[in-house]
Amino acid sequence: MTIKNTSIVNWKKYYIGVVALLVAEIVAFYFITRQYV
Amino acid sequence: MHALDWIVLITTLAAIVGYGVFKTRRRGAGELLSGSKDVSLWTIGLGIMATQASAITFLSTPGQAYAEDMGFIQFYFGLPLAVILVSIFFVPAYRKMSAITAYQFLEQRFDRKTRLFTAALFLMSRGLAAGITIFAPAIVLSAALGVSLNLMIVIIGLIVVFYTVSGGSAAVAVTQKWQMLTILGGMGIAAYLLVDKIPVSLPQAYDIAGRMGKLNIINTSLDPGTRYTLWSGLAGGLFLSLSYLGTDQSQVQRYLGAENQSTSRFGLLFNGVFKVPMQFSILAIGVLLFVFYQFTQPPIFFNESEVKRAPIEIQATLDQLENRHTDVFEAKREALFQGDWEAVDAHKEQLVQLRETYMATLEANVPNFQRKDTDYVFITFVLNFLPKGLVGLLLAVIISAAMSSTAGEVSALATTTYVDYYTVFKGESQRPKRTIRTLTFVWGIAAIGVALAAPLYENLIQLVNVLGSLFYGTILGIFLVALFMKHIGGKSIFIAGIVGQFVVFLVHYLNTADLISLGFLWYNVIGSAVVVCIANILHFGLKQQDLSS
Repeated sequence: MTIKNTSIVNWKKYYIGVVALLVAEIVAFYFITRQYV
Repeated sequence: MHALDWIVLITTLAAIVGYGVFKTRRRGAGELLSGSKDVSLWTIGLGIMATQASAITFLSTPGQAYAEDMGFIQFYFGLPLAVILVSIFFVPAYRKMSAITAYQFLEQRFDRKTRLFTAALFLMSRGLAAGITIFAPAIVLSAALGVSLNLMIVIIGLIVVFYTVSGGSAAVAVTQKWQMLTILGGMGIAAYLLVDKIPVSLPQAYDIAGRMGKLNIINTSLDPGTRYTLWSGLAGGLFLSLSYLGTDQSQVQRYLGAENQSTSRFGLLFNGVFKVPMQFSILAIGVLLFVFYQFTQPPIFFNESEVKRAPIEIQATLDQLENRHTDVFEAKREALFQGDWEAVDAHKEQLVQLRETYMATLEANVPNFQRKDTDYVFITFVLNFLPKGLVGLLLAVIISAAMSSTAGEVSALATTTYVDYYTVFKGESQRPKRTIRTLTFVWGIAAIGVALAAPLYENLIQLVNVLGSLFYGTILGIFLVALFMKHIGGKSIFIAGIVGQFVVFLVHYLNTADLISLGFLWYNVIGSAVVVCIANILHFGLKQQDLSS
């Protein structure tokens, strides 16, 4: 898949998505860690 | 190894390499340098991940979780943030000037000497690292397969040289996609079989891992000497990833090999989304291995080739320790089935002490004994517990990973040498394809040479582990000034770069001499900060001087 048109991509949406995923991962990892500490 | 495994191993590797060579057989010089423009975002995304994931990632990472815990995952927390910053600031800057290498941008922004200085830092660090990406897995594979180390290095090295010289960056991109898919498929199968072989349910396995300290993932300690914490992962990891993705030609080459800016950005974001889950999955395999070895007796020491070097006089002592290890292990397994955690902990402590005594005995009697055996944990499982055919596939996974990262590095080294040095000093070559192929060949042979010489330097591996961080801080500092501090010129940044590099070397010296205690990820922050500060101080100093004169 090659993306042709740059102008129609809402990059902000993708960047927020990546940050949200990272935050969710850190929170999940934190709770896994806390379970056995 | 069984004949079927050899067939699977050779067929898989030959198919990937043959496909790469076939697909890129009639390419021009431009494609040798920066790849073919018609590649998809999957090729770019998987290529970026394949260059990053060396064989040692798949050998060492499960071993790390097995021996310690999953805290290593924090090292990757800065990467998704770095991906976003590279996508916003670095990609448009490179694409605007149709750059082939990242360092061309520095000449346009500052001057030629800054470009040459930064390219030299890259060539130095990557040139050594390319050798180690061959050496590190070769040492494990040779010990595990009983093949000579030098032969293993030469085999891996020559296959890489063959297809990289033949198809350049385009062949690297095409082969990396299939190498990465083989890697992910192979690791998935290994995980499935591991779960299948554990005699308890997955929730029970999870509980055992948690109670035995393997599910420690997040460390919020503020101690700068602790290697992997949430903070060093976010801050140091961000700087390291920013430098790696934004300024290391082996990465830049992958996403600049796209048709347009959107494909470059999506390729990077792909990495930002999948990197943490992929590393988590590899660490989880290590944890599953740990649970598996709670029910199946592991060797007391995983690197069998080191045990074989033990003199005959200590054999009786070693046998005695091994027998005692078996007895205690059986008692611990029984306690585990009964859920008697007090007894489990007591037996676990005994096993640790027996292993210590075993290693101390070997250390006292085997010259240059290598204590670290975590790299052998996963390969030992593969060789001893996987069915025929799959052993060959998993070895193809590990060798593919070694080849994909080395090929990416060798190709980037050749491209940088050609674009940033050859064309600068000698102009465009009359026969560019031949010159690029010669440079690729020379760097490939140099990487094999470094790998062959590596055993002569005891601390080389240790050095190479921190090598990236030794240079990346300075390089990133130069690029940050280039992108965000338009007022600073070539003279200030060049001196700041030299000072920054000197400060990082000094900090590393103080760290290795135990005069300070600092996780190596912080070198990236220090290097960048020193370059940015010194460049600004010099800029305003020079401005004052001009005003007063």
